[in-house]
Amino acid sequence: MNQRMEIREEELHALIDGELDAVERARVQAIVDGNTYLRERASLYREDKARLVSIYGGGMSEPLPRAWIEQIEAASKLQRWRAQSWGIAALAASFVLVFSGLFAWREFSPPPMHADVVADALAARSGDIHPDTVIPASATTEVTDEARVMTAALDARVKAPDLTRLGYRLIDINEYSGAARAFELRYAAPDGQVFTLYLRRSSGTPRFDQFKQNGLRVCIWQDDIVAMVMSGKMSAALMQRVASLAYTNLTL
Amino acid sequence: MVGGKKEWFGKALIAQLPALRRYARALTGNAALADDLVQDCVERALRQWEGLRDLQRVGSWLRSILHNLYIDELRRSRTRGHEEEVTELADDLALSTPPRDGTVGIDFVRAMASLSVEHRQVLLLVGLENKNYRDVADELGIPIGTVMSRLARGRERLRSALEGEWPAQVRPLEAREMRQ
Repeated sequence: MNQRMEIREEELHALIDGELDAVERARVQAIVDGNTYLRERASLYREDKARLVSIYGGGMSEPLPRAWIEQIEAASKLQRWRAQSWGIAALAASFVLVFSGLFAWREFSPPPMHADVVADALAARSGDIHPDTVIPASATTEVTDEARVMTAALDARVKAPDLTRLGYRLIDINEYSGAARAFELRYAAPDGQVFTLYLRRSSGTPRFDQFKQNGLRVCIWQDDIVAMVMSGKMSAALMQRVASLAYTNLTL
Repeated sequence: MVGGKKEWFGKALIAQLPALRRYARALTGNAALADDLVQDCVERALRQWEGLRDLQRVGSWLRSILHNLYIDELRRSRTRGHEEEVTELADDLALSTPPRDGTVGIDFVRAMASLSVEHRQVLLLVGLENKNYRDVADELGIPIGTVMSRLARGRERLRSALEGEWPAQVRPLEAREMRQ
């Protein structure tokens, strides 16, 4: 019998992985100890197994993208709010009986809309919120009317970034008023897709994040002055290039 | 009750993210693709969390979702006619391997990338996630004997790739698989 065939390959790996019972372990170990080829193979497989951990095992303490955590927390809290709202509804119904319908109505008032810049940007992109004004793109590359409007509204010297170097052409600018004034700059990408850059005053906390949602790549780039949320159907690498160009071309 | 369970699920999901991301990187050999897959996995998990019967098995449930998404992505890539170079994928992760592993690490990542997804999956579940054979069989929904044979074949092929050759004893197995 060929020395290599004294045990099955599966048994050799079960020995390496500690999957054999005491009797089988002793039997297989004795065969391996007495067979130079098997002993060397076992040693190499053990090295490979250890290397798997040393190469791929790191990164557990790396910070996670904030968008992932926010998405999970938002989904969990939304569900909790929905569940709690049933209890609140029952309690408020008894108040209705005792006091007045008006008081109960106040109790039931829904919480304010989540004011996250990403949610607002995606709502603008999807058309869930409508712009107050649409500013057509200027033909000139000098300081244009839209730059003046944006600078005044955001209290920051900003303009529509020129992204033509990467083939992106500004189509128009949607202006939103409300709690926070904001602008959505719409660009035509070389492949005909629309790339949007949502711009508003920063909350003050620097932030950079990138993620994909429903096939849409989203990048948040916020310093202490302005917040930009860029979105488009594109690769992560292209988004990084476009986002870098946008940020460096944003200021007047 | 539902709200509390969902909140618990949310916390468990966040706790699993580092390990899930590590597994995705090892499976794909590409950090950016791995992050995309984890992101998609989170979205799908949040939609389908009520299908998770045993909350203690959230880790294996997430890996199953991620694996399915990865297979879908590979199919889409083939349909699009665009396949990333294996060496590019390998370089991507290999460049971030610990310096002590040096070129050995790069060779290792490339060798891993040359394996089939099924072989990589079993190697990682046993070697990286430290799962026993029974748990791997349960997670993948395959007999324990299949786990053992995939593991043996996967390690053999990894070793062969590292040694720069396919040994003679592997080829007949491949031929048998082809006929089946």
